[in-house]
Amino acid sequence: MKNSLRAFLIVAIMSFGSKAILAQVLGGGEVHGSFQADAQYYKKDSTIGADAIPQKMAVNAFFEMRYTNKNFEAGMRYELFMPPLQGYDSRWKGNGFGYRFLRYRNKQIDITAGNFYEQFGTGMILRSYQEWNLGFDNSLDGVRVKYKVKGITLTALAAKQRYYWSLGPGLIRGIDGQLSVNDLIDKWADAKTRVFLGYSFVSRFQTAQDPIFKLPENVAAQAARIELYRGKYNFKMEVGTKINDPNASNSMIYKSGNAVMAEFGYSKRGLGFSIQAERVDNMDFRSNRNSTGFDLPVGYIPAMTRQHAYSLAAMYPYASQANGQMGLQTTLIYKLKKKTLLGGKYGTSVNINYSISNSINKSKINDSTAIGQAGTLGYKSDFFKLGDEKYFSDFNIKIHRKLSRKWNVSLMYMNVFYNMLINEGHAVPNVKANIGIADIWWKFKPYNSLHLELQSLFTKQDQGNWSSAMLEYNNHGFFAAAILLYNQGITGQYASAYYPYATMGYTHSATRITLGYGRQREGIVCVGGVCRAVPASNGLSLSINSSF
Amino acid sequence: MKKTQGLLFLLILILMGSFTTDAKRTLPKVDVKTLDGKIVNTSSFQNNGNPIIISFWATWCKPCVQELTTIADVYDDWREETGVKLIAISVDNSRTSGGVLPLVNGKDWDYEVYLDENGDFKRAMGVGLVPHTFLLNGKGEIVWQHTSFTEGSELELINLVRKLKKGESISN
Repeated sequence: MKNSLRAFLIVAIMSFGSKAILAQVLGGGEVHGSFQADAQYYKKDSTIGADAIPQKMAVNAFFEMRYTNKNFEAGMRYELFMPPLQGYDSRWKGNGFGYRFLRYRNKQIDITAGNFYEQFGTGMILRSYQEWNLGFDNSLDGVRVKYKVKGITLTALAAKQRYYWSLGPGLIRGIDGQLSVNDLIDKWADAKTRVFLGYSFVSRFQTAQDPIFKLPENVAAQAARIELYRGKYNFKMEVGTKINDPNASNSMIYKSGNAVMAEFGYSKRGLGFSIQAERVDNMDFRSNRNSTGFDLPVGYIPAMTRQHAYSLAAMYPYASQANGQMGLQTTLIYKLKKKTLLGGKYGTSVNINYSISNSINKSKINDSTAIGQAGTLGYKSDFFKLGDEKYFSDFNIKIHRKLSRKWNVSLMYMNVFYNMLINEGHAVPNVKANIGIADIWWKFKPYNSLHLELQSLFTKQDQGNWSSAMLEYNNHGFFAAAILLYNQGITGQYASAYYPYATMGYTHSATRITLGYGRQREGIVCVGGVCRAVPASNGLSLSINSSF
Repeated sequence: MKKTQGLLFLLILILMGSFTTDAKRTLPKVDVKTLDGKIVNTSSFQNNGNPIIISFWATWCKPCVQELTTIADVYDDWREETGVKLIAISVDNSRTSGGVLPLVNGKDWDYEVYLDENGDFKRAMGVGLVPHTFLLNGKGEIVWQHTSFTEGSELELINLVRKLKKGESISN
């Protein structure tokens, strides 16, 4: 610390003394960044699992800054969790520079040293990303080089993954090639059909000293993809495999993994349709074979379900099962024309979505080995056969209509099935719920509006029925809202509970300040013109966001 | 770790020292994807010397969809009057990005839409919460930005575009 302090002073004197010289050398550069701080003062509350903490108050904050000058870029993010807000992993506790990088790029080459985020294809075998409000960051720390030449982009990287305030043990090496076929030959440039091909290879090295099992130190995964576009049609597909990788999440089986994702779409003005299918078998890929949960994922297997923005619709979200799932999702969005009987004066938008996810088929490898037994090949799986356990399904329909210049209405119905054991890891009963939502906007003056949102969730399982009402007032950049969430509970199992919450805030250009008081359930909250994920809390909260 | 912190302090100071306020902010050079798979660099965004609105949004973000739906109703008038162009940047990741094209067409939006699947452009622009809207003048300089959408925000936006069109200078 002493050394850095000395360096600080020396550089302070130097840089201010020679500002003119520096400005000449680095002149024309730009500095931009963003800042966010969330502070919460806690009241003890056992119902929502928010305990009073000894520090009384928790703060999460970051300050990110980027400097760009012609082809050069540098950036860093200072992060602080003192202590982390409840609902965030306690391993975040601390403060320091969690992210820093240097980057040079021109038309052909792009070199990054330090932390970076990268995604190969759909991310199936490599994706590093950050979701600050969810407390997630698996950035890669190392070197990445990208090279571009006529229709071809090559990416190569070697790095370790960020693991809270340290790095994961695995060394990640990866290459990816993306080819735009139409750009190869001039004659194809204006062809009606556009074709893209891609291939990626990722390897993890981690020493193995297991006393029982002989484990592969190098685990390789590869994936190939194709994208086709022709007029109103599009088709995408990615296929990936991973060699045997006994790990904590697959209970140490030696089976290799594979995954297939495909999507077909048709769309034209006023109509959008898509259908997606996926099958994933033993593809949980991490930079530490002993990790589970949200720690150190290298590959990203998304949940192929709608991401809902209403709190009760988002109450039972599907947790993607990278070690085995077979799913389907289809979406139809349609605009009923203006000035028709069904469409009304301004037209009506209809949005229908259905998704389902099941287990994959599994059978014994031989009579004497149980399915999933550690140290064996685990199980056999028939690729085209559906497993017999349903993990999740969601049918939802949403209708939006502008009634007049002043009134807007959205109505939504949703039916969800949620497998408790798979999604939350505890015993049955599985949840079957019906949800109804009405969302009404009244713009009574050009800059003033009232927003009423009513939601109800009906279920006989888990914690029973829920209802929520929100009234929000907006005036220029100012907003105030009151939310009352009520859980009816289940006689003899769950007591009923109220969650009253009041919030107000002000947005000026890219700075936003909000203040809230009351009891809040964790989940997604869309209020005052933005949506964000929030942890469970009871007490007083203050949030500041700013970009510059 | 302490050593890195020291180095970082050094870097901060160099950055501060070289910070020149007279430089107008322009778009960073980041690759984004069109809805038909093409890779496009954001530095190539242009609108024949007319203003550009860049709106960061996501399919799961209600206020974002509300903003783009509201503007869609008046977009033809806006274009005719001011020549402004709206570029919508979807920050949907690979979980939800498949829903972008059906939504854009299903809602009959007439915008230039790009995918920023892993958030590279979003980070380069310092965008935290969506919706986040930037306004560029005819020279491609970023002159104004705003986060969140509530009813009436679109009126403020078009008023600023009109000012730009008249050659008045605006700032946050």
